[in-house]
Amino acid sequence: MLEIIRLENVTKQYPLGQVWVDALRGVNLTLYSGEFAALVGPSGSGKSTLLNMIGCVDLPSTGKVFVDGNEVSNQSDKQLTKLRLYKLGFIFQTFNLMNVLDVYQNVEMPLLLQGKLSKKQRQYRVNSLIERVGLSAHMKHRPNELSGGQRQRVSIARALVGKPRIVLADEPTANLDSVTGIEIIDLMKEINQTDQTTFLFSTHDDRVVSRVDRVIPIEDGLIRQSIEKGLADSRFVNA
Amino acid sequence: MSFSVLQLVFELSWRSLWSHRIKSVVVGIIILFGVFLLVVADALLESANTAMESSITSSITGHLQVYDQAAEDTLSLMGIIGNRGAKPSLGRIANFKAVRDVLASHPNVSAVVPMGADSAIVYQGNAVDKTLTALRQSIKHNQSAEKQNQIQKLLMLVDKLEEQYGLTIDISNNQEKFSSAIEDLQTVKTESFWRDFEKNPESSLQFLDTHIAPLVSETNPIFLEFLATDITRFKAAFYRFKLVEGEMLPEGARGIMINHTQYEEYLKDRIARMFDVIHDALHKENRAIKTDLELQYYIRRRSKEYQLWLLSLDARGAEKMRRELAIFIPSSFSSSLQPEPHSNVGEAEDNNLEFYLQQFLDLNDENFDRHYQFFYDRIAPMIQLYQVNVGDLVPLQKLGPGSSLKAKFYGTFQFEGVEDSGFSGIYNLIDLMSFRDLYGFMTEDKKREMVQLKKEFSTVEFDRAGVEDALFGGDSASSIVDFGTDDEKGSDSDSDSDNDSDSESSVLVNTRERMQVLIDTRYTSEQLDQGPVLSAALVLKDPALLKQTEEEINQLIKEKSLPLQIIDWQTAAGFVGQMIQVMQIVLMTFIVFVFCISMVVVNNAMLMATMQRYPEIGTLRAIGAGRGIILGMFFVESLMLTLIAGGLGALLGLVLVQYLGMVGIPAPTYEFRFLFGGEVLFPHIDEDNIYLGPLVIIAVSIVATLYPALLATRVPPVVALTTQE
Ligand SMILES: Nc1ncnc2c1ncn2[C@@H]1O[C@H](COP(=O)(O)OP(=O)(O)OP(=O)(O)O)[C@@H](O)[C@H]1O
Ligand SMILES: [Mg+2]
Repeated sequence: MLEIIRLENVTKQYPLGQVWVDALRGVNLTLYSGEFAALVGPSGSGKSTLLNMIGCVDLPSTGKVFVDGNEVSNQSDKQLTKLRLYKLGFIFQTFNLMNVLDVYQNVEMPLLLQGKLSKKQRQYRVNSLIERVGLSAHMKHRPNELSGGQRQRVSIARALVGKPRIVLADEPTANLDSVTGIEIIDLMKEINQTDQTTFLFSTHDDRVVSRVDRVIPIEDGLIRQSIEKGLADSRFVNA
Repeated sequence: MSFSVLQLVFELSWRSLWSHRIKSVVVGIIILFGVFLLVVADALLESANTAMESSITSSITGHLQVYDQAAEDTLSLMGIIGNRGAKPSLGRIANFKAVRDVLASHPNVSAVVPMGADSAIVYQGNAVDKTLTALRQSIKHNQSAEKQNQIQKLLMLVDKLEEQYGLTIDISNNQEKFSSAIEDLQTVKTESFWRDFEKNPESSLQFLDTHIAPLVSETNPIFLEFLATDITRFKAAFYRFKLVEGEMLPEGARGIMINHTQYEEYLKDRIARMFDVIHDALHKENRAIKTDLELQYYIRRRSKEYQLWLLSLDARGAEKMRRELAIFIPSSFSSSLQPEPHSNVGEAEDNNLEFYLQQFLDLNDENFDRHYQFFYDRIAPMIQLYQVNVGDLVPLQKLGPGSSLKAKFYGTFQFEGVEDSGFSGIYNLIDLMSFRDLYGFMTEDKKREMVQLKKEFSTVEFDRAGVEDALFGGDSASSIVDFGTDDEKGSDSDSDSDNDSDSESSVLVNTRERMQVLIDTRYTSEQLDQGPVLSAALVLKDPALLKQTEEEINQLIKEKSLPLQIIDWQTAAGFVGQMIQVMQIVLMTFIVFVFCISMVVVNNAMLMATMQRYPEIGTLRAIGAGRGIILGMFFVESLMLTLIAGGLGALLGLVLVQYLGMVGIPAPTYEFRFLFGGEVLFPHIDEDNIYLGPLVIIAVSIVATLYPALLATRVPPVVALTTQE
């Protein structure tokens, strides 16, 4: 299996007043192409911090993060931006869509930033993705005219449009009701299975955990052990 | 950055402008107002500047002035306000003709006008002098009634003087002088004095001349600033010059013309002037005496000056005025709340003139219009309304040691549009020949006179009274031209030797003839040109080329090696020129201040807006937008806002200026008339400044935008994931 993400002894300290808080305390983790994995752990365990390291929006205090073979900590802002644009896709807990743009434009944006495709090619790809997430009828709508679930579908489409190596999602269902949340996870799972897109997300939700191939349990800034598909167990979540 | 990204940037900018409408409108209005203000203020400033320039250049200075290269001081034609004492040393242009010939050859020069500025004192003889002159006249013509009348008047004056000196003697530390004065006055009141007078009038008159006349303090000397020039040429070159009263000085003639504003202000009877001023205050400025302390104080001070009337009226005149007032006053007197404490109501008919004058001049809002009317209908014809009248020979004396002369007063003038400004209004005009005489530039005329004089001093005898009568019709000033004597008035009191007196008289008779000759003489412009002047004003055809012309003329001066230097009107205007510059700086500072304030406000608003949009920026960064795109987005956004708002502001400003340019802005005060170059300013946008609007807009945009935009690029992408939307 192709390695996409590798973390070696990653630590992260945040200043909190006079003291330093250890958010991550030596994380080692490897993610492979096509995985559908969930970071699971109690609040404050370091899930978001870990996702930020992987997503190249924050840098580790010590240790190394490799994204598709590129070591993150000695990259310039320009290079990191490029990494995010081409190799990573983001789905946010709060959707973070451009309210001033309509659904089509929101989804198209990463392609415009990449600037590689012609208008026709973009149209084809954007339209098919929107269709895929079931929003063809809402193409010209603004995000604030959509429901939370619909918005997260737009997010998914936007995260996928640039053909990233991995899609990162920090609690993508936290702002959705449980039924909608499951729908979103199911959509992601379906995409994962048909396109082999790699997904890594964090969650609190038991039902979400039950749908993933791999659960990565995290506690106090440390990963205990990965649990492979089929061994998923609510033990870790409830701990 | 590809075209589609640019498109995205524009799209994002435009749409976020729209979606943050309220913020955009607020910031937009600030920018709009700022640019609007700037455009309008600049237009006003520029127009006022042009107007001021025209106020100065078209009334006194011309566009350029040339004067002696060796001058110690800088020529400043309007710098003499409040600085009359220290006369600048300006050297002279020895041969104006040569200068004119060279300078007039420049294609942009439309006129070269000779000039010289200096001040002179205009004075009148005192009341005793005048009475004595009239007395002499009546004796000479055997008019006994008139003689008695003048004697009565003289006695009245003596009474007044005695009263004055009696009052002062107690507090004076020069007891001796005062008691001898009172002694002299009492002598005049004795019968024996007048018996002697009948026997030998001349020796008695001499006593009066030498002992009584000097007791009267002179009326305040009046200082006038004179600009010596070729008045005919001056009028042609300075289009604001307008005749008000009298006539133009005939071409080539000697004489003066007085600025109408000064004529009213300084040469009009002081009580008459008070009536004018109060009339304007009440009817033009809508002030009220009752509530205006300044007016009250002014009336109280000025109304005491009726004393001068008492001194100048003869017995018959005084009685006539008293009767007129007695008829006028009782009707209004009933409304007056305060009768004099010791006056008896029954005696009202017998009150003296002074009492009635006090009543008459006790002005208030209710009685003013009636009294004003009465003053001009009845009182004014009885008094001397102006100290000099058109057609008079006006005695002028140079300040400090020097000569004096009499000049014919032809008329009054004004500079149109800047009548009351007090700046170009300071000058009266005098012909070049008189100026040269007065200030000691030796002319051919003068040299001839000197020779003539020397001869006359030793030969001719004359009867003094007759001379004065013939020459000055009652004025006591004793000579027309005194060469090199400081002490013109002194001749009266010093004439104790017959010989002196005779020589003086001989001068007079001959000067009278010469005077007439001088008045009738018409000099050709050749003659006027061939003599020294202090400076020359250049009036240009196209004032826009001023700087260039100045340089070219400077070159010309060097080529022809003329000993001249050249300055522009702003320098030549001296104090006023500096004031204009200060005013420009103040206004400019104000504009910059407004500009900075609006910049800070805009900047702040943009900053707040930027901070509110951190999550949005973070998201864009997280999904792969580089710093350049963030910068571009914010920049384009602000640029669009400032372009639209600023453009609108500039447009509105333009419309307002155009509108004001059509209807004009009336000058609110006298000072503004000068700034406005007239009663109304018609602002316009200068061609050079048409680019100012857009330039300002772009400057505002960049300054207002750059910092927030730079700040936006510093937003780390992680805020997208940590900040709740
Ligand atoms: N920017 C920050 N500054 C200071 N401390 C931080 C910061 N971000 C995270 N931390 C701390 O690091 C630790 C890990 O935080 P993190 O947000 O990664 O936890 P989490 O697992 O995502 O929790 P939750 O489930 O509540 O989202 C916590 O103790 C948190 O307080
Ligand atoms: Mg978290």
